[in-house]
Amino acid sequence: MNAIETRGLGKRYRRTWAVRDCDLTVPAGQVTALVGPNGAGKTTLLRILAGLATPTAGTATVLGAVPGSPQARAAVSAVDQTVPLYRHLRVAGQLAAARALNDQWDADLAAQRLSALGLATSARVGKLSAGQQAQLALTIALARRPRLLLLDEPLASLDPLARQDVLGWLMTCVAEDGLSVVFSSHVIAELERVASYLVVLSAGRVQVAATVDSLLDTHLALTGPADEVGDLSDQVQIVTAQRAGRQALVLARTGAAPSDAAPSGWAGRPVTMEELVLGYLREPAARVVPGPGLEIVR
Amino acid sequence: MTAMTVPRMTRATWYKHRFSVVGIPAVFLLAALVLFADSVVRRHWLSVHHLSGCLVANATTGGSSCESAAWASFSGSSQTLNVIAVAVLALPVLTGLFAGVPWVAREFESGAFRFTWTQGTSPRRWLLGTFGALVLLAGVSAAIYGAAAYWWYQVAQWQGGTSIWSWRWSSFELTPLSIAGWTVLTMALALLCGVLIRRVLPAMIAFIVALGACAYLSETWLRPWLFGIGTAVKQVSWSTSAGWPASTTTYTAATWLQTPSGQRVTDLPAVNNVSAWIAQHHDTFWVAYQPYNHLIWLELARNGILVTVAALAVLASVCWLRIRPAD
Repeated sequence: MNAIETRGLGKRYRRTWAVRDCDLTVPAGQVTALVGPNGAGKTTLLRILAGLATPTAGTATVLGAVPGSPQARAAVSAVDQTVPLYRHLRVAGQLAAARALNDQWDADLAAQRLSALGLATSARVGKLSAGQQAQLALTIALARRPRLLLLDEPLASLDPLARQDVLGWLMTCVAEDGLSVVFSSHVIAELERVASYLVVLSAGRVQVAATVDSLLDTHLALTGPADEVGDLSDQVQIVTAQRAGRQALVLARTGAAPSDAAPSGWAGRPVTMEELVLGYLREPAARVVPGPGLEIVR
Repeated sequence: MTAMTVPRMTRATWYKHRFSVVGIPAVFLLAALVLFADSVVRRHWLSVHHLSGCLVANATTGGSSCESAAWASFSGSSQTLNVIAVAVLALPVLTGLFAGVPWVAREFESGAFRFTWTQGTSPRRWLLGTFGALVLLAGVSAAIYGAAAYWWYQVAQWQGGTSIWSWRWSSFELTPLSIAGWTVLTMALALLCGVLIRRVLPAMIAFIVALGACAYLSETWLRPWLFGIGTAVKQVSWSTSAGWPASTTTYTAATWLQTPSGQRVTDLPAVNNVSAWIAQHHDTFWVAYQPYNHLIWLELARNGILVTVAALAVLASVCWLRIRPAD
């Protein structure tokens, strides 16, 4: 079963499409990084999947259920980028409210996590730092024992140590419980360590959707003479080319099979996820869509 | 209704809205206690002065002696009494304004609704579960407050220098039924304004306007219209007032002259001697009135309409939430 499936999904706010013609399939059990520039539609997509927003066009399913349905609600946890919590409550009250609202609740997990974080249950939620509030929201989301976790910018308010800790905890949950995770972030370097699936959104459309391994295996960073970029396009598919004086740095797709063989006259090396993402974001017309093989559509 | 049960949502309401859950009954019961205590003191004074009979609304005992006793002992006025009655009625309004509007509008304004909606509960259950608990609490508290207000007002209106007349607007409104009815309506309007506007301050303003419109319509149209339904009709003598329904217990809805041909004339002739004119034309004088035993049914009908409007407001809130859930 796929964790997420969308077909022709669109969401319009007055005259602006936040998400448009979104066809996306994310297999279950993956940690999916959802990246894109500001205003790309990441939050809107996650809110539709969480049942917080209704699509204007198309359909979406999460774990086979319609977002917002009782089945989806029972299986999906979401933490919005606004970290919605009742700030007038104490931590204990917030947990009690969450417990009352859910059929499934892992009190031990919540208690252990809060203890590890050093969060006092008597503390008022509104008095916690932004990072602590995000940690509390994550704890509640995971204490529901979901099968799919949707996180919108969960790391934004965390310090580097806390980010490491959260990512480690998430990976443990994925490994132990088979949890599927989709999270959006601007910190691509951190996603690289944990993400197994990459979705790049640009201007409301899906630009890239594939496993991280397949993307890294089929892309190369090439460095060579700037005036030969035109000839290079006969040998590889160029995603984006940046010229600096006589040199050019090219993000190229080399084919379906893993390859690090650079065309003659060019120095090639494997790309990092950050380079890959930035390369596609610089060229919104280039798309890698899922299918029998990856293809660049211009 | 799926796996989640209403009591669990009620429990969540307790965790999230403790201030309202405790505050609403506390304020109503405190106000009821004040009215009750004041009433006991006033009634004791009446008992000591052997004037308890003056408080009986549907009896003719007392009469002018009661009024003179009131004027001799108190310098109250009906104007002051109206102000006090409005003040007593203000409590349900304040409840809706400060407890009803914010609970839903503030959740939208702060984004906290996203927490509840991403737990195992649907937006509709969140809305109805929370509203149901709060409105039940407010309704029951208001009914108790209304009972105290009713008991207190019996003395207050007599001491204010006016006769005990249950058809007066203030007597009609200061009853357990009416106060509970208005409270339910204020909570429902608060819910609707909160769901529609989703910002606390603008929702409060909209609530005041909406409730003001409802109160205006109720006072100027609904109550007079209801009082004209199902009236008893009888012929009375213009000159001697014989057969005229007792003014202390009944409400006169309409009077008219009837010609020998059966034609109804509502405007009295502009002559000096109406009695002579009626006798000369062989007309008869008729009155349509509400007997005292109709009062409870009219109260039930009016407050039933308030509750129906409240139910429509809740239904509109649910529909709007379905059309525009969060974005």
